[in-house]
Amino acid sequence: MMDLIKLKSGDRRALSKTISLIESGEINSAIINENFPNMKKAEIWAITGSPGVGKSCICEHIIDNWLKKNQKIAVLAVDPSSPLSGGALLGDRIRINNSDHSENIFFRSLATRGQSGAIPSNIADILNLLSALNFEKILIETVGAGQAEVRVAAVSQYLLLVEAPDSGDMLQAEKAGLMELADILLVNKSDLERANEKAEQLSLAFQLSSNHPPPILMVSAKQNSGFEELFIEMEKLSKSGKNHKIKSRISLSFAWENLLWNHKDVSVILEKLESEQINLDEAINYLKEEL
Amino acid sequence: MDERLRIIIAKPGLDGHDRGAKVVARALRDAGHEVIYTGLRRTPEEIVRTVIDEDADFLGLSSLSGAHNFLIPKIVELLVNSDCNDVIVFAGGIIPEKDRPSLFSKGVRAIFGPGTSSAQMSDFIGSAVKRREDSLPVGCGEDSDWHWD
Repeated sequence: MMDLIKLKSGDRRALSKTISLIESGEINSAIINENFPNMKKAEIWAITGSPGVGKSCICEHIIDNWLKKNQKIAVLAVDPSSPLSGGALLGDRIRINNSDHSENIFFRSLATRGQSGAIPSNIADILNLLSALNFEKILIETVGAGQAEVRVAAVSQYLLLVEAPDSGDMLQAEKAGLMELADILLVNKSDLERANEKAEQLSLAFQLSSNHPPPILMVSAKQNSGFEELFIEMEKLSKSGKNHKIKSRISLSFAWENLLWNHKDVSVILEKLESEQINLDEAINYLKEEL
Repeated sequence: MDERLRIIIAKPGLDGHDRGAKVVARALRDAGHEVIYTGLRRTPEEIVRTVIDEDADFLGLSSLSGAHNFLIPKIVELLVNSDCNDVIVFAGGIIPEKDRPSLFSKGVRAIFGPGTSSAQMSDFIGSAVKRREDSLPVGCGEDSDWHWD
């Protein structure tokens, strides 16, 4: 069970143990809300992009900037579980060096736990817990490919999408969902030749499709350039307090629900649930597979 | 084994060799565990911080630099001071036979050298988990001279 006294006193181990309980489904937001009635909402940022575009390096800069302002930060680094063994190799700590130093930062690696755990549903509970414990900023790092990441992005308030000149084609179908949700687009590795070209492609793609294109910023984590502009844009978003993309976010989840209710097997699944032949997780996983 | 454990593989001190640590991390992942690798040259304080934040069940320390007699007891001491008595600590790398008894006496529950198979490691993890289930002391700060061999 969660140790409320220790949790409230700011004990790190109590926090990390409670996160484990949330991961295994033993604690949910209802319990947290009950115990922390007057919680403030933390500001939640997600950063996503293909493997190798430099998310972790950018995270490091963002975290440093927050640390300088003496803010209490939590980082959740989400990595996929192996579909074969269920195990996971969580390596984001390697690249985020400041994670192990400051008292003001709590860093947790999370595995997606594929079939059984479904991080996207309980990550919201983890965020809730961190809010309850007065974390001011939360940064979620995920690999941006696939629906699971779209959902992780959807639990955040602000989404940074990272691209690099040498990463794949921007307009890939599976990324389209994320592109539409992004509040800031970053082209990392701006020291490389084709970075400008990439930024132009992105800008063009938005001109065709969107009324309010997000800012497209060039950064180089390697040369430490472009970050001042990024921090200014982040500050602007944070001050505005409003969710620029909230409409599309809501419509996305509605679209998702629609998919569910239009599913060909939905009545069969419901019957099985009713007669307790399967549990909720199994039902969701089955539907997810089919979608 | 059914249980999914959270295991930290760490490289303490000034030691740039991590092939072994990476192979171990991979083998444990393939056995169904969630493995967090710290990367090279971590201080004892950083490693303990990682154990706490990640809610680790096991901590594996890889050392090939010869500093094991200093670093490993230091880490165990910090774990105990941080209320992490129950974390199970094992070590690997180049740790001579003559140094092992003293490390075991300080709470290290297994030491693996070159040539260890992943089956042996699984066996250790299974035995340690069994001990914990039977409420026998096995954590680094729990009083016992049990170790795997």
